Amino acid sequence: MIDGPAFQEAIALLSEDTDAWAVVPPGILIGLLFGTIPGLSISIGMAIFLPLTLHMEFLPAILFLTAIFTGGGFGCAIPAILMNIPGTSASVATTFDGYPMARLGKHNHALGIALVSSVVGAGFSYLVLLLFIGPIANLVLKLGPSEMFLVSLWGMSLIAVLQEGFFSRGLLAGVFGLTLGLIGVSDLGVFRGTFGSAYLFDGIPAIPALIGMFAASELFNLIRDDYLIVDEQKRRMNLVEILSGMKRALSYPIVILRGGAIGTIIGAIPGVGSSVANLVSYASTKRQYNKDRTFGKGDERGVIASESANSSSEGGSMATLLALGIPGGGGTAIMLAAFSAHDVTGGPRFLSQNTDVVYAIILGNLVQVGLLALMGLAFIFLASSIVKVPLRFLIPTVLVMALLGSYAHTGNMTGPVTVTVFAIIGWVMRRYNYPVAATVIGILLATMVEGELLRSYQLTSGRLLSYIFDRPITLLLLALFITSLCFPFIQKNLMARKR
Amino acid sequence: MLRNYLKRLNTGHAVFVSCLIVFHMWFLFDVVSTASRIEHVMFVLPLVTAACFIGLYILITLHREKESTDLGENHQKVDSRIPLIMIALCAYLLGMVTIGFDLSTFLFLSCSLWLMGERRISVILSFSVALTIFCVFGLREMVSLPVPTLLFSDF
Repeated sequence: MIDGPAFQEAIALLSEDTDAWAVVPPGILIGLLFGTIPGLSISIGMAIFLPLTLHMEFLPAILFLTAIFTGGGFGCAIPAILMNIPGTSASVATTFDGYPMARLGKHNHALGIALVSSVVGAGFSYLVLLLFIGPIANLVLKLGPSEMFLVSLWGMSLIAVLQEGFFSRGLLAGVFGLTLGLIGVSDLGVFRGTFGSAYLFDGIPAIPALIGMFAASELFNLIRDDYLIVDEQKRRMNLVEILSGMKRALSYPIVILRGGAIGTIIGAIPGVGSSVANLVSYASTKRQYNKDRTFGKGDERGVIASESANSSSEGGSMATLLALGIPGGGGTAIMLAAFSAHDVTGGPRFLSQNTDVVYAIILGNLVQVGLLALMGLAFIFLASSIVKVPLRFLIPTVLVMALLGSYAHTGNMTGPVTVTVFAIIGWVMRRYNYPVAATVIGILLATMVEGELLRSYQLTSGRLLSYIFDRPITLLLLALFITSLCFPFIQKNLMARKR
Repeated sequence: MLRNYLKRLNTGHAVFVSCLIVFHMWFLFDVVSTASRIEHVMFVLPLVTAACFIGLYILITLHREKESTDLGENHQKVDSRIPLIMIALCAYLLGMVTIGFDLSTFLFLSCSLWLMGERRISVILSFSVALTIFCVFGLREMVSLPVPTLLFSDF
């Protein structure tokens, strides 16, 4: 629980350091911008502005980077809702209901919902972090390779389950993604599926693949329409609707808090966190509320579940960074670089010796979340004007930005080539109702899944089964994985019996 | 029976699933050809086996697929502009490495605007020029990335 004197020192640190507050609003704005523009991810934004933090003290530097992280976390929801382009894999589930809402002309409402869900979710996770940073870190330390392997597979299987009526296609799409993700040099130094091309030695770049599969392939389908929203009356920017969306989100406290809890716990798992958290939260909400089969067609609870989970996973990933010194993803890895640039090493010793600084970072993030609510409101009011742009201008513009953004991401032509190839594959997959999300998550997690399996095998000297039966968390995760795979069949049987 | 199956088969979908199966088989052979230890195929083998089984299951049950109209908006007749935009995108990619980012971006924008139905030449030209300058300049100055260009080499 909270260390009283350290908490007071943290408040003193924050109230005395005006620089720490001056850098927060620009940081949030940078995060919102980088999260919103397809191709320019939060990690790119943080990497670009990392050198700037070298001229700052440690606390302002970290608060500046976390402000980009916080702003970007919500910023990714904007293109996910308006254009079906998740800025990162953490926003994949937001597209499931957010984009259909936008197509129905409820984009203002959806953005308002996403903002409040993000703010409450992130706020919840930082509160949990403030109270339980130590226990969360210890829990993460207990997870071995077998648990990490199963969490990743569980996340993958959830997407297949989410593809209602086309379970086998969801599975095939996920397996296809995993196979694509294995292309390149393996952990054991073996070349696989590279066609001898040096560009493929590092594997298929995940972010360009994500942009191609989600953005470009969807843009091809939009060619038929004149505007994102067909009804002219519904295209207007409407502050009242945004505010009503914000209020509406608060009427589902259980969905938000469950998303927050799922995000905080799963978000703490390095590498998997945010990619899986939003899917787990979405799947559990869908399972509970999808009696009228409204999910996937613009159900606001889907947006709430996804956004609250992906924002709260930010807090979870900060827990492992601060308490263990382990970065959970690109964003926290850059923060770790800022730590070392200031001669600070995250980990148990940092947590015990600089508890006041850790609390100051967490409290600073809590204030940032409040600021995000205000700045995000102004930002989405402007961003939602995108629906007024005729698609004959929007489609070529987004395609060009996607290609150039992916070039910026990879630094060579691998990015643009990946976007184009995956745009075409994605378009074909969508045409035959294969979930592109499953393939993208597969690409993202493949090397990790394989790596964890190999580590489990090597740790146990080949006695994997006896190892699994000795670990209750592994057994629990295995049960969850099998249940999620069997769920469609169980559901089908139950419905058949009811009839 | 086979004739009936083939009659009801969605050819495009069947080709797509077959391509996926072939890809997975090829990948497995590629891995096996260089594998010397069990660890090399430990994950790949079950993965490819699963892909082939699921793919075959989809192929076998494909004839049960509902009529195309029930499959949602994605399954409508392909708009003739979609393959043209895809070709333009591939040409843009080629142009980036041959004639530079600036000229290829300008040409792609002009071409796709025209394909999308914009017929005012002044709008096409001004929009394409403005966005090209913004993107190329943005990449160079904001992201500090070397961008091969033909016209704006002195930026």
